[in-house]
Amino acid sequence: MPKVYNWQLGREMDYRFEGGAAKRQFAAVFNINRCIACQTCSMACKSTWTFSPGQELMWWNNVETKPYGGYPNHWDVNILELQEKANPGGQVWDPAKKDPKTAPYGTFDGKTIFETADGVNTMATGYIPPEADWKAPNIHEDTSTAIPAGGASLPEHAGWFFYLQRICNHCTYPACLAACPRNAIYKREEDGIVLIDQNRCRGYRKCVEACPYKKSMYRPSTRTSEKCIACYPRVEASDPLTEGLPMETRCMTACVGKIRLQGLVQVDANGEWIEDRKNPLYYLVHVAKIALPLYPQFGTQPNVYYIPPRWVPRPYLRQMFGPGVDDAIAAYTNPTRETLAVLQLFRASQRIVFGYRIEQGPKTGELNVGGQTREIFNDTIIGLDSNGGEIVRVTVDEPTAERPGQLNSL
Amino acid sequence: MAEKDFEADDPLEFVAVRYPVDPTVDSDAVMARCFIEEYALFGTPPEQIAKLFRSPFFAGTNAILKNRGPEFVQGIIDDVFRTGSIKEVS
Repeated sequence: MPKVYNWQLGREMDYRFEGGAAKRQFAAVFNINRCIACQTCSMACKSTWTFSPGQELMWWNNVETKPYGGYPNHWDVNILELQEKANPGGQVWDPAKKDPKTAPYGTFDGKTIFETADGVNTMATGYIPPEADWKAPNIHEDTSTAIPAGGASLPEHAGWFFYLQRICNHCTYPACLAACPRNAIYKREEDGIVLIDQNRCRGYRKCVEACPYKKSMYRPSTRTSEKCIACYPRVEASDPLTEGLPMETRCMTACVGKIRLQGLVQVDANGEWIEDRKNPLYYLVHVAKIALPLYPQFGTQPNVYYIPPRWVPRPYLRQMFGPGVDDAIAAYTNPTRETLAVLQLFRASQRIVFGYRIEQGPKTGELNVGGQTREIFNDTIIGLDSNGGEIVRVTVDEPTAERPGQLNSL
Repeated sequence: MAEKDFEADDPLEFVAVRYPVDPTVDSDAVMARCFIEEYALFGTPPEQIAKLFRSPFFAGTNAILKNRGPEFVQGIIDDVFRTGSIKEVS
């Protein structure tokens, strides 16, 4: 197999094809700390793309409750177990072998899903979830059920939990693409979006088996597989609403909790991000380093990044987001003035923010945050479109409005 | 489902396995501080944050107040805002 460089792992790895040719890459940051699992994103996606016969069990976007939940059920535990069996005790990181650009989280000394596969019969280690695992995306999670006569006694939420928002990661080295015997899956040069050619696909489900995130799904009514298309007509700026400017996807723009920011970043042949200091995604991932990839050890170099939840035990988070977790949480817990401003750009506009500038505002107070005294300023951040034009202007002080009590219907 | 009672022999009944938590960690205090700091950082004044805990419509914060009492919550709010207070910006 050819060797490609995976900067999230800090090393070269085996992959079926040479490095990607994408010039720009679809990428997003999700702030787990602010998600309330309202599922508005899930419904925005479903009502746009997967409402037809044969798509009943498809949730290209889902939000699951960790550590218990998963769609399909237990997807991450299953793939972690397969990897552990293939390389017992070896799935470890060396956080000391670090380089700011080529290995920002250290080096992964274990094996990726491509390296535990034989490269002949299978291109990536995986499994096909049984049908039942797709049928209840939120079974036993935050759903209302009966309350036993004696009151609820299960300890399931006593310690901690959090919501994990999931879409296709439009990976730099997609396992679905590597696994397809028909070469029906391709990654677009212009934005790195990964798509399945429905004419070429014959529904062998190798992509369903290989995708470690289980975001490729089989549709029995067409006998083909389908997946998140990153709302490419919106990203391509063909929606008349924004008059030719690229738009964020449906799931991003529908986010009630303002936890999502999506855009396009410039990448080189290795999928490494070209420095673009005033792109908010570049800032969050490569400057502030508060947003981390999901299960980077799988090796697909996913392009959705997460700000980890600060209240969750670190060993769990290190397994999920790699060894960058401690620094990311420290930086998020006591954010810089710039970080606070950039966080306000989340879901501030339907249009993709390609750059930003900050106008300094007055000091509004001091807080004791994370045990440190820090000053708070009401800065204004201005989001810029692909032409450098202003598309949104928001302040760090979030304006609030309180609904009168008599309007509450509950 | 909501109107039906739990049945122990239901094969799809939830079987909970608790993920280990450090016994020295006060989960209520950790979560309360997360909420308070998160809102404080984007300019929410302390009295408005206290309301989030008092209101039953905010189930998570309200559960902490019910479990530990208003003094516990107010103590963390006071600690976060102890070095000053957020002033309203006109």
